[in-house]
Amino acid sequence: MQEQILPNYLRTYRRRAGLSQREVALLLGYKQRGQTSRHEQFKAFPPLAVALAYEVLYRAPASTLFLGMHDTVNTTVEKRVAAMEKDLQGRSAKNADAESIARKLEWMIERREL
Amino acid sequence: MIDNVGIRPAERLVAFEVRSRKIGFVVFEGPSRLLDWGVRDCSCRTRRLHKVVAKRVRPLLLRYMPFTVVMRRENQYLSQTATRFRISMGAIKREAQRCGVAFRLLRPKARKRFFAQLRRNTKHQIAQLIGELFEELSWKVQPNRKPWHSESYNATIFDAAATGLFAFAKEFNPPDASRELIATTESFRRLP
Repeated sequence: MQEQILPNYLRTYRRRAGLSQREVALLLGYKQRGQTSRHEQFKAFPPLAVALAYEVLYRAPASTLFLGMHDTVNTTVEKRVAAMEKDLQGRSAKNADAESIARKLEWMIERREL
Repeated sequence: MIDNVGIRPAERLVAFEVRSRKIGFVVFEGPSRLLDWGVRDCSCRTRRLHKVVAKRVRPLLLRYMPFTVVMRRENQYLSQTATRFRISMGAIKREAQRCGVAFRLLRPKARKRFFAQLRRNTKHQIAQLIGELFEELSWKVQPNRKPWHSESYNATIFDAAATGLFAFAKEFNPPDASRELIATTESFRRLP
């Protein structure tokens, strides 16, 4: 079996708090525990508002609660940024929008250093 | 806040403690972090036991995808309880193999020796240590009981946690396992 980061740690945080799925569902604004269960079993991703509600509830950043998902998104976006950077570097400097390209490349270097 | 940083997923481990009618389990991610814990009921007839155990264990393995499953080896195969233990152990082993997870049996004596080095000789003392290490379990530690009192329902969780901790200590730092555990106790306590 291939080990990987869990998509989320909602169940762990809930167990630590000693809450039941039903109680968490009520705190999040759901009427029944079904959605909470689906989130914990990685069968469904919570909408943004609910993800933020989890963040508020457990006092932990969403990137920590949804560590695996964050990791996946991070890898994908970084790959896309790298591809765009490569594409921009390959373009001719004589082009009319050379300044715009230079600014984008500058920003990409800045964000890499953050 | 639980600290996720620096934990490799490869350190995920599931420890089981089998009793005749229930199975306690603890899921570790690294030696200092508990992901899940609980007791699964397996009170059924012996001839159906392997199916029930498999049904209880499979979701845990599929959900957490651990690198290994550990259990305490039991030596007495004479009584009816031991038969149920053997069946449960076989079912867990088969499920682990089906999910592609390594399965390891640990010697109870070695585990006892490990905790004796930490001056924890009895089950209650070990449970207390685990309660100190993992605050999320501290409220489940049974108060010191008399011999005529029954064991707490949650005792299997602490036994499973002890097996898990021993497995980690054995895996990552065999000669200095106990010292390592004591050293990391401080970092355990830093968790809220």
